[in-house]
Amino acid sequence: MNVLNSFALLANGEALDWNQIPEYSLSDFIRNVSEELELGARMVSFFALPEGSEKRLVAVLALDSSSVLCVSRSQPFSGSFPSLTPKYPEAHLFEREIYEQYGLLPLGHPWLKPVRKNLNVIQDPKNFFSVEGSEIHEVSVGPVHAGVIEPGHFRFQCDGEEVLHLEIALGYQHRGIEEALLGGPHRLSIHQIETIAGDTTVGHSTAYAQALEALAGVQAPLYALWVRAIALELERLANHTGDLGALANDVAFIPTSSACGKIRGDFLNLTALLCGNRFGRGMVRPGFSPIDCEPKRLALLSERFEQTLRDALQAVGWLWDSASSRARFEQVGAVDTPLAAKIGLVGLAARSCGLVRDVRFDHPTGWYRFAQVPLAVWPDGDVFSRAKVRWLEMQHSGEFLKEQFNSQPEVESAEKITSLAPDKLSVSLIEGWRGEICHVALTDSEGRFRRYKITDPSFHNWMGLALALRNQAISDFPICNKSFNLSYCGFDL
Amino acid sequence: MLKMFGRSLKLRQVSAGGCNACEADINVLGTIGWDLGRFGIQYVASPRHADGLLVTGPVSKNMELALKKTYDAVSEPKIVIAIGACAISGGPFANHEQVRSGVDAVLPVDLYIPGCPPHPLTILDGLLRLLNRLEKQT
Ligand code: SF4
Repeated sequence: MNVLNSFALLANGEALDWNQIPEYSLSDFIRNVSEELELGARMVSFFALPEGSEKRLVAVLALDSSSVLCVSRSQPFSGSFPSLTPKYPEAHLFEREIYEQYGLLPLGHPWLKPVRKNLNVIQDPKNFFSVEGSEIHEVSVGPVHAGVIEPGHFRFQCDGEEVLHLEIALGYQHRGIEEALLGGPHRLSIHQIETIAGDTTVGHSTAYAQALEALAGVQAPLYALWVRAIALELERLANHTGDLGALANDVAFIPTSSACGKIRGDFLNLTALLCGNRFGRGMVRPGFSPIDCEPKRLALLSERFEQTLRDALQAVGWLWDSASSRARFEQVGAVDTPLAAKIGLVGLAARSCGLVRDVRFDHPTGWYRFAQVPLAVWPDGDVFSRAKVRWLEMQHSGEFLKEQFNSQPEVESAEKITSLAPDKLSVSLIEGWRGEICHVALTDSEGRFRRYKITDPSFHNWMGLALALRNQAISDFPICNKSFNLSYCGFDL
Repeated sequence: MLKMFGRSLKLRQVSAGGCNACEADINVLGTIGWDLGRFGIQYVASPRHADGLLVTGPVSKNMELALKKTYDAVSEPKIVIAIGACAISGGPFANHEQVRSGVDAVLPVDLYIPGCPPHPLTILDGLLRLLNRLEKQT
């Protein structure tokens, strides 16, 4: 029997009836999921939800090459389930999260620790992997770091300058977003979605809009899709510019770092020109577009954009012209392609390891069904590669936006979404600037959120940073860290 | 304020559970477009070098202890500035059981700068007013 029969198939941005999703006994469910992962499917989301006094598991996998998502669920059970992690490490954090949120024990999980709730356990030094030996020393950093940056705790096991192992403990930014969404959408929900990760406001709010539109059976007008794509690419450009500036700063290449710091702000100001807020708050709403970009504003946007893009490409160009900066990035913090696939990296971190993985390309929705952005991939997996992919993406997004400014669709009137269909599940993926954002929404019999599962790309990628540090000099940590630039708050929720 | 700190103000930033957009716009003031240093204001790495804290976020319970410890490490006299809706009242996360809904639930606050996030200009305006450095409008 084809294992795929044991899953319900859907495309990105679609919804299914909850009872259409095949339900299996726990052991069959786990077997089906592993068989599918074995055949090359990718784990997009894996979570539990309560069912009476018991719980059940839901898995969402992606078949990227066929643009298909598949969903399956287990029958309700309690106690434990066989861990997928020993064979499929990409499941490791999902299983820790399931254990933390619903107490289901993943039997055989090699490193079962809380994720974000039980901080005393998370940061207890006893619960970190430690390397033994007379020459070994441990460096512990954070939660408060030496800069204007979010909190996290890092423990390095070092032999002299060389890092043998790095373990990253997060959770400090946990503020209860998933719990707060239960029973929603509430009036505050959209604002909480916009602040899952402040630098990815457009990414997360677009994923939310798409999830709700699927649940309401509503098609957002083309105009709204156009605005979202413009805003998403502006967000990408602002962040990539800032990151390349930060990387330049860490190797003391000041011209690029100074200029990019300012140009990043110029991109944010373009976002503000569209919606009034530099981070895109208020840009995206389910069902319609709150933004009307009239001809005068569009002309101004497009004119300022061309200038800003030219400035950005010039400033980053200086960095590439500097051989000593390039040399500092090469062969530092490398993650090879098989390892990247194994731990389930997404987004630019994955593409920098040679993995062809981009939601805009594999699972296009919205405006990306009509206009394509070329994919940027680089094979080496090191800091250089991650900088290079950002650089390529800046050029691609730049060209894309210039074209899209000329293809503005007609404004159509559309309604706000007032109610969602009951007992439905929708899966919504968006390629944010860091990578794949996944929102899975499930409604109850009243059409309220029964579960709203958020996966920020950082959830998949923090492990990538930890592994990139293996056998590197500890002094290379800053550039490795900047080259990933992952979100603490997006992870911590 | 001038009497307390002379002409310079060194601040240590602590994020405590927000969305990181406030931090982003605090950072912006340090870039060449704004050059905060010319006003004698600087962000420093160690609380021991600081005259006060810039706090963002609703103060997640998971950050409460780290925030208090950082505050204790700043020598007297010291000030606390709460930046953004989160730091003022909990913002979008107000009343979640995982947060303390504002910095003043944990530390005495001397200045509140509103916004979600506040524009860099708003932050600058707040800091300069605190230092009594805004020129009088004529
Ligand atoms: S006030 Fe707004 S922008 Fe600032 S941290 Fe809170 S949610 Fe983010």
